[in-house]
Amino acid sequence: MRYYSYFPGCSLEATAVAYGLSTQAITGALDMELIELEDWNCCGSTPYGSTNELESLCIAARNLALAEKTGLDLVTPCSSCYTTLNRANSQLREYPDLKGKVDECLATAGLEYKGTVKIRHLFEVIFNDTGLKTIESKVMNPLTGLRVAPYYGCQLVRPEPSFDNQQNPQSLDRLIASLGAEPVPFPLKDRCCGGSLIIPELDLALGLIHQLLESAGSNGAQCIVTVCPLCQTNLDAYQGMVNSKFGTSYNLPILFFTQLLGVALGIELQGLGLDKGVISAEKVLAPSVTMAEPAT
Amino acid sequence: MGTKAYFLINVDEQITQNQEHLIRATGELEKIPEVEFVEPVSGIYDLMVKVDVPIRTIFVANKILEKEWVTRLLVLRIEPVEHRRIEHIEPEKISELSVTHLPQA
Amino acid sequence: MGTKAYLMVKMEMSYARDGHTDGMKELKAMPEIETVEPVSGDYDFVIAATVDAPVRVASVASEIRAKEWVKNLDVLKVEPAAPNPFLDEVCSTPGGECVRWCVQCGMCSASCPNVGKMDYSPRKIIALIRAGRRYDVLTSNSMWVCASCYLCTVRCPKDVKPTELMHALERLSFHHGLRHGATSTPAMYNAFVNSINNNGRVHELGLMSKFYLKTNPLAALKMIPIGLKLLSRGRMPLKPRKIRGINQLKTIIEKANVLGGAQ
Repeated sequence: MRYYSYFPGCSLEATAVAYGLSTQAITGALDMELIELEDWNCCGSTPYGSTNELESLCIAARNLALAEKTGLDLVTPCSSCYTTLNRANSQLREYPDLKGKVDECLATAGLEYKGTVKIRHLFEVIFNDTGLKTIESKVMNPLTGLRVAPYYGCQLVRPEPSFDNQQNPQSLDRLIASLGAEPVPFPLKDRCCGGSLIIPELDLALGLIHQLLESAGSNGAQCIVTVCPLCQTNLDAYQGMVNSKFGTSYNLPILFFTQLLGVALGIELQGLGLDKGVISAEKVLAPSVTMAEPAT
Repeated sequence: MGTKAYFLINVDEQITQNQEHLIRATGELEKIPEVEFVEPVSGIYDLMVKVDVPIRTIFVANKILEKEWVTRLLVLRIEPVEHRRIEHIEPEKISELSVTHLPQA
Repeated sequence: MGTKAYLMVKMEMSYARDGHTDGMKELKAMPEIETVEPVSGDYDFVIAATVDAPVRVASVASEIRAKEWVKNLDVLKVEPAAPNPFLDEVCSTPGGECVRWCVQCGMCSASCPNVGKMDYSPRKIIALIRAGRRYDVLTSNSMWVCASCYLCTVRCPKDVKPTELMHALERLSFHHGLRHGATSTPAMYNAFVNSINNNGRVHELGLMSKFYLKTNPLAALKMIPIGLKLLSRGRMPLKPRKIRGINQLKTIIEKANVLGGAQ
């Protein structure tokens, strides 16, 4: 059993509840236990970092200080939290003056951060620590014939020097293959969905989402699998708007990789949050398994 | 035959302490046709100027000295080495040495 | 990028007669020295040298002074003629130092998915910073349209980090109170920050309401169908959730305010 400290991130309590549900549902089967970081606060993400450097480092550092006490790696399913917390770690290392100020601020709350926490993305943890061989051996419902577009998003393999190629990653493709499904060629697999710009720059983001759906759809994808809560919401909840704006008729369910894993591992469907998607995955997944009735 | 020389110039304190004035002063000097470049420096002098004059440096030197913000000007004429050896034997033949000009109070 | 200096050397009289050529050879052999010109006047040589860190001008000067034929040496360090306070400001902000390394190849602009919406592409922003155009840069919409996809960062041949630079510019633009009128990203960022400062976590519904009320209430109407879909699927909690340690967080943030910026 491998233990990790768990940083869900704010969206897992809101738009990405399905991610949190499916994650907790599969960890048992993968011999992992994710212990939620007690009383974690928002990592700050891009908006805080773009407003005030010292404050944003401080709020990220509070989480790091709390995580350090557990002595475990800090694992997050959200690419943005992953990037933000990693960035905070690097900034504190590269700018000792800043670290001094951050230390002072943390001290007012009785906290300290020595700089030892390792931050990891949930996908990378499953890919590396559990490993594809183990996953393959545990597959109960091979997703044969399911054509899946692997959507990495931008912040899983960038900017941190990464466990996968930064411009043509393959890890998610291989995970999909190990579940018996067919990873579809997807040239824009690591391109941006617009992220949080969907709110202030709606049209700009819709354009990006349209390109992504087009690239996946035109290569025969039946669904898209993602590793980031923002990506999932953007591609799922706004797919209807993309269709209206561009006159398209996409109907691609957007699944979290943990949900796909859950289906393949034979986990009880109720626990995977499959009914949370705006675009329903029922039809697409039906050949692999019968779906439970969506909750009303 | 052209003569190249370095002029080392001191200027009013008020110029060195104000970036805008310094830029203006540098620009004024650069407008003089014989001036190749002007570089603000720090040390015992304030400006390093390179000139290329047709005959004698004294004319350009005087032009510069006319500016009321110039307090001192030192001339270093660039000489080929062989020429130098001869000049040291006959020091009186050296045309220009230092020209010092101090401001009126 | 090095420091340029003029070193003026006066030779010992006893060497001055015959030692010029040898002296020149010795000086020219030194790696930092670019030109050596024999002169007449108060000095015998004018040397132009460029030193790169970690070597310092002073150490080159000492090396020359140590030569037995050198009587006197004066150093004039070259100052940059046109100061660029904006460039200095950007370079002293964490994330901004890289501006000096750019060679304007344009790879960043070519990689940027949102460059079409930007007033100035990433490459141009860097050029403008180096030209000292503070107002143009800080009132542009460029950084507010950056999606932080990091493609530019990964592809830059000179290890410049345009994404980090964009965020640094956003901070500077907030700091100087200069913002592009037509971009509403700053308003969204402010609402985001407020949500964290009050609750410890981002309350998405609260954030969106504040944002639309402040910028364009009518645009909110377009979003209602999506909002309802998310609400009906339990993806849009109505009430914010405060963390237990919210006071602890507030204390930390207050102290950060007191300590001031991050320069």
